[in-house]
Amino acid sequence: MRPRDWREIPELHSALENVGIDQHHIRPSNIEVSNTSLSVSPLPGGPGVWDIAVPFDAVAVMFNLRSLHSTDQGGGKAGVTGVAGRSSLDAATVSLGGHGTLASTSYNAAYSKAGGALYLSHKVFDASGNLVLALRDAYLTLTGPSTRVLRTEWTNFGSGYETLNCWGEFMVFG
Amino acid sequence: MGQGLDGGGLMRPSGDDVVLDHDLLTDVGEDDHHPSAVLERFAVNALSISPGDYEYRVDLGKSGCQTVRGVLRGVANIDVQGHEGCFFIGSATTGQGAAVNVRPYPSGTNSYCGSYSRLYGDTLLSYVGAYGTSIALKDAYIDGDDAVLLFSNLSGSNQNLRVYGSLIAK
Repeated sequence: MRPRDWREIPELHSALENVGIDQHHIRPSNIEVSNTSLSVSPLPGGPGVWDIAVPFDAVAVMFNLRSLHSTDQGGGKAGVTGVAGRSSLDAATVSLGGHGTLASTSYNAAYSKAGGALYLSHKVFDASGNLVLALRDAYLTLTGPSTRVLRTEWTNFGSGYETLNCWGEFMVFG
Repeated sequence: MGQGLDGGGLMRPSGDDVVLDHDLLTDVGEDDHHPSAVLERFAVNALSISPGDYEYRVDLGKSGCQTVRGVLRGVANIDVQGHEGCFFIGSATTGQGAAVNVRPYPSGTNSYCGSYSRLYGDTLLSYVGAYGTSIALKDAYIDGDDAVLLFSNLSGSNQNLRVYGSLIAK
C-alpha cells in the first residue's frame, strides 16, 4: 500500500527551484477581453495602447483577437492568434484576413518579431469599417511592483482618428 | 494528475486533495509536476539542410515540458510585412502535431489557409516551400530539453531553411 505521509509535500516542494507560489498548482487561466472605445491617432502619432491585466508571474501568453470584419461564409471574422512574452521582440502571430468579403485586400499571413516584422496583424481592427488599424506589438510588462499587464499597441494607418474594435481571449502561462 | 485513486484501491481522505495529488505523483518528476512556461524565439536565415528530415531544436533550458505551441514564419512574402507560415501545437510525443497554415496565393492578392493534423493522417504540417524551396514543416514535439521542429526537405538536393518565430513550452 502506498504510504500517505503528508510530510512528503514540504519535501517535494523544497526541492523546487525557480518556482513561485503562484505557479504552484496553477491552472491555465483564461482572460476574456474586449475594447471598442480606444481612439487611436493616425501616424505619425500613436500607437494606441491597450493594457490588459495579467497575473504577476505570467511569462507568456497565447492570445486570440477578433475584429468585426467579415471574412465570408458562416460569419467568420478577421483576426489574429499568436504568442507573446516579456519582450517586444518575442511575439509572433498568424493573422487571418479571410478570402472573399475583403477580396483584394484580404491576406492570411504569419508575423514574427524575431523575423523582423514591424507589425503583428493586418489592418482589420477598426470600428468604422476602414482597413486601417493593425496590431503593432504585444508584450508583458510591469506596471508596478506587483502588477503586470499584456500591453497591446495599435497603429492607425488612416488619416484621421479611428476607434478600435477588438474582442479576444488570452491563455496565460506562469 | 495521473493515476486515479479507484484504480489503486485506496480510499480518498477528505480535505486534503493536494496531499493526494502529490502522493500520487509516483511516476512524475518535479519538472513534470511544476513546469513553468518557457518562451523562446528564433531566427534562421539560411541553413543548408540535406534531403530528408531535419530536426531544428530549440533549447528550452529545462526538461519536463509536455506541450509546445507557437508561430512559424516562412519566406514567401504576402505584404510589406506578412509572410506565409503556421500556428502549430505539439506534445511530448512524435506524430501528434497539428497546425493551421496560411499562405499567399498568389502573392499580394487573395490567399488561402488550411489545417493539418498528424493524428488524422497528414504527413506534413505545412505547404511545401513554406520555409525554403521544397521545405515543409513535418512535426512539432518536445524531446528532453528541446522543442523540436521537424522539417522535411522534399527535394533531391540541399536547400536553405529559412524560419522565424516564437514558441511557448510548458
